[in-house]
Amino acid sequence: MEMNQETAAQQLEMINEIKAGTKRVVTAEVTCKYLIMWGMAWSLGYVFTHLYITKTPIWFFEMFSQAGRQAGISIIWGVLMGAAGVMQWLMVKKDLKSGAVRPTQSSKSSKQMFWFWMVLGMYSFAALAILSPRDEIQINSFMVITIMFAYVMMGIWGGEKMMIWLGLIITVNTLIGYFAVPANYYSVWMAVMAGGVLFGAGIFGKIFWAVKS
Amino acid sequence: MIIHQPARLKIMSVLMGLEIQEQVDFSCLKKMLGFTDGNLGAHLIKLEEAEYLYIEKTFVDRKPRSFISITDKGRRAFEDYVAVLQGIIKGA
Repeated sequence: MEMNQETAAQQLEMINEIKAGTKRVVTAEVTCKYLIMWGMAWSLGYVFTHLYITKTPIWFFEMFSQAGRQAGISIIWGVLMGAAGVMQWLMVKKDLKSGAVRPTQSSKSSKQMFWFWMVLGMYSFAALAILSPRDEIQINSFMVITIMFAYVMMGIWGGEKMMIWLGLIITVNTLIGYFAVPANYYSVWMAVMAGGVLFGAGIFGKIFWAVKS
Repeated sequence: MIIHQPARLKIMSVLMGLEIQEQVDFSCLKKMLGFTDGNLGAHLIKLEEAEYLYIEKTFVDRKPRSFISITDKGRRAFEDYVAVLQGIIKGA
């Protein structure tokens, strides 16, 4: 094969560009719709939590005490996360069948990811059960930071830089929300700076990285 | 050598950008590379004959769809080719 150094360098550069472009397309075609959905679910959760805490009459909380207040928040998040989980399951099923880029059922990384989420979920619940934090903001921040750790790991394993950046940015935003934002506005802050960031990243990927027809 | 041809090298680069055991839809691959149906189809056949990729033809909602993935042999051939390019750049 006759080839000079310049041509070889050009070909190598083209290969690297195409491979990086492919990662972006996979992010746009597969990951972004999940980011949009989870971003919406998170934002709604935080907005409803804020409204529940600030707009519910005082007598209601007095009647049901602190446990009742926390139960209300758990119901809001339980319903929203449950609905989002079902949506995710349906979307994954559709992707497996007909996605533009689809993983095979036996994909090693899908299994690795599934077990990683399982172990992380059990670890978080165990940590929360042992530490028993009573502060809602503390519990929420811990959960968000744990999930963002998973995003960073998914980004590293799948070579999706967007996931790594999202994990880091939302972790920093959560820490700012926890330490610097007044407790009354924590949910509003997180609705925009966590849910909003997820949603915005999903839209960004869909607009700029998806394959154009 | 099959994959030194620019169009086939581009196809292989896309497939190498996927996770192992991930497949890409024919139309998505076509849009990513900006090829025509005929052009992409012809190069895919060459690569399939060399056993560098696997084409799964299936029906989704009664419409025919083709999903393409790289084989282990294709992966090795691509890595060997990249090694050759790196060797040329280093002046080996």
